[in-house]
Amino acid sequence: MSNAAITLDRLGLSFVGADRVTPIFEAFDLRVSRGEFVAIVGRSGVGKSTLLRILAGLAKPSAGRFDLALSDKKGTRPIALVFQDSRLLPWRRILANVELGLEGLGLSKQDRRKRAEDALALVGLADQAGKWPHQLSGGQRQRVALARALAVDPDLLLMDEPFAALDAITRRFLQDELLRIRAATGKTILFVTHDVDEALYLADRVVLLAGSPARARLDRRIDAAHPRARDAVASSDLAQDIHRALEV
Amino acid sequence: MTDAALPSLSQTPSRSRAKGPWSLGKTALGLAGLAIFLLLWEAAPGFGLISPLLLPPPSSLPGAFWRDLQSGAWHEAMFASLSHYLLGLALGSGLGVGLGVWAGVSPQFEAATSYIVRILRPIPGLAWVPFAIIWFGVSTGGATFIVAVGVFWINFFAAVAAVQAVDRDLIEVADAFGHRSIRAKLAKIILPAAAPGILGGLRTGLGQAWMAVVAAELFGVPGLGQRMMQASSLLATEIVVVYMLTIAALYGLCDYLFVLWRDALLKWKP
Repeated sequence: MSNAAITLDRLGLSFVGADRVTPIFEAFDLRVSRGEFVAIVGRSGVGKSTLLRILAGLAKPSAGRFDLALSDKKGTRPIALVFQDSRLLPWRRILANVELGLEGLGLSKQDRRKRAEDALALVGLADQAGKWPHQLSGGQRQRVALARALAVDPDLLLMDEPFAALDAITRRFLQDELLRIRAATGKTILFVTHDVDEALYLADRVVLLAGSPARARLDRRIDAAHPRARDAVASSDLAQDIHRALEV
Repeated sequence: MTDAALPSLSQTPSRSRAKGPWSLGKTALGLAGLAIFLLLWEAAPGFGLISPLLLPPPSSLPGAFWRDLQSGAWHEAMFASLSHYLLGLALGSGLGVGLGVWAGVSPQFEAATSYIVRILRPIPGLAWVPFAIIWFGVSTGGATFIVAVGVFWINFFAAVAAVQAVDRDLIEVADAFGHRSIRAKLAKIILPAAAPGILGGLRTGLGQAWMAVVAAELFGVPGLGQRMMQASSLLATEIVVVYMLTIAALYGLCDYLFVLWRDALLKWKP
């Protein structure tokens, strides 16, 4: 299939501790199609975040290889990452925070500014451009982090439990924001979460990682159209399957 | 009804500092304390408790100051000292911050210099005076050297600590957004994040440097310290006090300007 955005081929990575080596991935395969929204669920410590870090180039696999079929258009970055905590730079105003990834791409100052403003508008925070990060609420900061990632116009958006630290109301709001942005931009998204309902509400496909080394214990497509009903998602057969698989 | 769906996310924290009648009262109390101090100081030699030669009364100071202003001695000494101060401060702080940042980002450099640092750090700045005189003579160069040594270590250690304390997560942000060279990381993350600590070291150095200036000049390099030594050998103690207060005023001014600059740089801090 030439439509793959991500191809992991027998990927291996171990965590080297003081007294023993813990295998996190061993001969791990995964394929993600272009434009797909894949949620990765699993218990903490199973390697969900490590997978994103490998794809983002922040960690090196010790075996196997991964191919990213991503475009390298001028003025963009192929991959962008949203962390669990917003990780805004406290000494930059909101707009300058969003510009971070645009620096070093050979864009003019005006272009950078325009792109950052557009990204801020996309997350509904155009009016906060001149503020400092500490003046925003946690939910707003996380939206800025999303804008920072979207500003570089990535082919692949990696999100590492981006809404886990937020209160329930803000989380629901941002989930709907993400669906809206996704519909508008058609990005390929890899979304790590430990919240099964969140995965089922958002994604086209759910991959459940379990074990050490981690395996895809379950890999299902979700064809239901958006918007989905949250309570129906939570009580679906697939939800039951996933919860059962998580308990094994 | 257990519908607690009231978003209360953005409450502005009340950050009003205690201002009002008490802060006025504190100013008044401070001024009163100063007035009593000056009165006691004036009274001690005035009532014959101590010779005015040993403790010149404050009323003798304006005249002494005026005489040195008129003769030009004050300007000459002040500018000489200020140039030792600024040159030594720039050299010592620049090297201290530069090498400190290097040691902070490079474990190899830190390890390579760790024993050198252990040997040199405990040497008091003034213990370098003999070498200052041998290498540079009793000159601007010698005084600058003493001042630079006096502030180097403060800035070095402040910079090492500030750089090593930079949040790893923020450095990872730089990596994730394509800023992978050490230059880009320094400019975009490390230096801004370490700025509060580095600026703290620089400010401590501002005070240390005046101490070093006076010490260097007591050995004969022209400046405020030398003028004080000349005056004391003639028992012109009111002139000594004039220069002591001159140093206090210059230090106060430098510190005030520095704090203005620092607060402008760190205006992002909550």
